[in-house]
Amino acid sequence: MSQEVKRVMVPWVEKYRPKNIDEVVYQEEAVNVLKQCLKGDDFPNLLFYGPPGTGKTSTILALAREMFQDQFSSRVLELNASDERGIAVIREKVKRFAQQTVSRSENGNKYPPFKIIVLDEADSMTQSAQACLRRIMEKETKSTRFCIICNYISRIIDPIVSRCSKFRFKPLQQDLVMEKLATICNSENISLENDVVLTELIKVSGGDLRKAITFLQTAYRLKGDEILTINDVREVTGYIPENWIDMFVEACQKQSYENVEDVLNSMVAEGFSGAQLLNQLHDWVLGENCLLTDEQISELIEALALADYRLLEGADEFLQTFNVASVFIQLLGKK
Amino acid sequence: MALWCDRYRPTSLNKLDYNKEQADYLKRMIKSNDFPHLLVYGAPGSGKRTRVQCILREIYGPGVDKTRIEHLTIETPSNKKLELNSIASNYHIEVNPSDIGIQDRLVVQDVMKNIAQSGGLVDKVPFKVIVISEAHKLSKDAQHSLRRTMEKYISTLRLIMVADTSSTILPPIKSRCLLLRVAAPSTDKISQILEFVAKKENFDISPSLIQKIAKESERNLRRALLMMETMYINQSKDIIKPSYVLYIQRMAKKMVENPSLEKVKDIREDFYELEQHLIPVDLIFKVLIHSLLQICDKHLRGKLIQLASHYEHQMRVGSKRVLHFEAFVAHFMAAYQKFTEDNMIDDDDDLLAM
Ligand SMILES: Nc1ncnc2c1ncn2[C@@H]1O[C@H](COP(=O)(O)OP(=O)(O)OP(=O)(O)O)[C@@H](O)[C@H]1O
Ligand SMILES: [Mg+2]
Repeated sequence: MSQEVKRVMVPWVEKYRPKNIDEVVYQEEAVNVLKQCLKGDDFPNLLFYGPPGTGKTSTILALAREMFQDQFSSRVLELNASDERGIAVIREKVKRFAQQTVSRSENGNKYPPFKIIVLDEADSMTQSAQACLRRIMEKETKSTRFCIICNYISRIIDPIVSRCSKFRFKPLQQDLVMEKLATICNSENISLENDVVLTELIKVSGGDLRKAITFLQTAYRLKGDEILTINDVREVTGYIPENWIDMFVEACQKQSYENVEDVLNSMVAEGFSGAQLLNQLHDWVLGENCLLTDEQISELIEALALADYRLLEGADEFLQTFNVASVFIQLLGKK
Repeated sequence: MALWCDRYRPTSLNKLDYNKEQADYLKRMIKSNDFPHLLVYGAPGSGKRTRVQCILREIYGPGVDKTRIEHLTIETPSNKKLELNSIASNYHIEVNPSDIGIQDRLVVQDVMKNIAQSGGLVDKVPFKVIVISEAHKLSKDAQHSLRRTMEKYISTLRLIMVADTSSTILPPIKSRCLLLRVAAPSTDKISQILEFVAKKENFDISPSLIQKIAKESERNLRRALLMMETMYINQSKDIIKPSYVLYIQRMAKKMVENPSLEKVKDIREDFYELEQHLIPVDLIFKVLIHSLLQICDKHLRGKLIQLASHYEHQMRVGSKRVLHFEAFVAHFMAAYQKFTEDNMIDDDDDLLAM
């Protein structure tokens, strides 16, 4: 082992996290309003909602950093789902922090006259903890602003929602993700086999920029300085090679439960995820190789949806995918 | 004395017998000091745990093998105390949060907080590792509580989650990890390993028998080594099928021989018996389906799979397993009986027509 302390590399999602609010892409609606707020003293409570990796956490961190600069740590309290956020804690921590007085200026610098409490991943807070939070929000309006972040706004109780300015964060557009990835490839000196590699990354990450960046970094980590190919990307994303999908479809077309059983057993042994199989079958059903009638397609998609839902609840991969195959076999048999 | 499957466990990435390419990639990654959170997933018995131990060794050196058992006591908000065992070295800690059921979030929070605060830097490695086993069983709550922590404490802490499947892991967690799929060894590879172990143990066994074990093990190396060791201990000349397989096959027969309420009760007892021997339900379903598919008419197969997948899902969500299993059995018996009757009438029609 080398003598010096091992250098830690920051993950690229952190390294390329927007440093200021101008670097946040695509969420203009939110960004423009927030910039206005930065100018005046009139700052509302905020509610950010939207799918993972669209910039919610980054935006508030960047905003707070611009507002408070070196005072960031004394003015911003971040609580997320990993902290205990029962009622007791909300009362204690949030209240204590909210009640510390702030002054307009420190060491000759001027700062906004309030503090910010960020409640990230708020959709995992219990209803009663939210109710408690609501009362604190009411009481501390003078000195404190709240920023509530969640994926699903429906999980936040109405009285909180109505006390906040709401901003929806949209899944990022493909060309923006592409641009971001290209910039990273450039500054990290990654050589790609061709453009298809990035297109594939964007396809699998579906507007989640964090996912796209993480996948790019892991593919690069695994391959070192070799040229990245589409297969490297697919491997790190858990993509099932096409020939397995073909084998599955063929077994169904042969109407053979034995064959299906074999293929599925091998897939489980290979470690392919059932949910991923469903995704790719969905692509196949909607693709041009599929010669089913519209009616058959809709029945098959229904089976896929059912299986997907059950898998997320922890049902067995083998049985659930087997049922999809079985529906498929029966559809073909009816012809 | 250690079982063969433990005694011949490889201890470094170099010595892993299969998925060598992946092992090389991992080595390179650890060398570059650019080590992310990991989600290691693959079928039971595919060698995930062994691979993780090799990774730890590659990062920290042999000191990581010196482990001790630590008792964790975690207090719930309602002041109840939860007890849990963990395995720890100076460098890492391994927990199985699902051991304590729905309160798993507390375990995750507690362990993460301790490690994050006690800081990294042990022997020049700036981070400690938390291994979470059976991560596929983590509740959604527990998974949510990992999210921001995984970002925030990345400089002092790495997670290695070990899961039988990645399907139950939420997307925001997956997008924070390197996904590492561990494929089970091929049947040929298993034969090779069996041969190697047999030689070391001076066990005289024919190549054809080795191949038979390898095939029977369904690519589960642990199961294969156990089967071979059982033969060795019993001085047996042929493979001994696990008794639960025979047992479940008998259950299948009962389900199709003049079905009745009595039979349902009978099968309930069988189910209890299997559970007592710790046979997991998914395995029971799998073997049962396999047997029934071979027995029942091809027109009933669709119905069979549909019922099995329906009740297996209900069983996961519900609380009393035997209830759902019984419902499956009863429902299938009824379908079977109806099918047989309908077809007898068809036969009569045919007779009349003649
Ligand atoms: N709109 C954006 N502009 C620039 N970078 C972004 C944007 N959205 C996401 N990113 C990138 O993705 C990473 C993750 O974003 P962030 O943590 O803000 O997501 P999030 O919306 O809080 O997701 P989650 O709901 O999972 O918490 C950032 O580090 C950044 O690199
Ligand atoms: Mg976030």
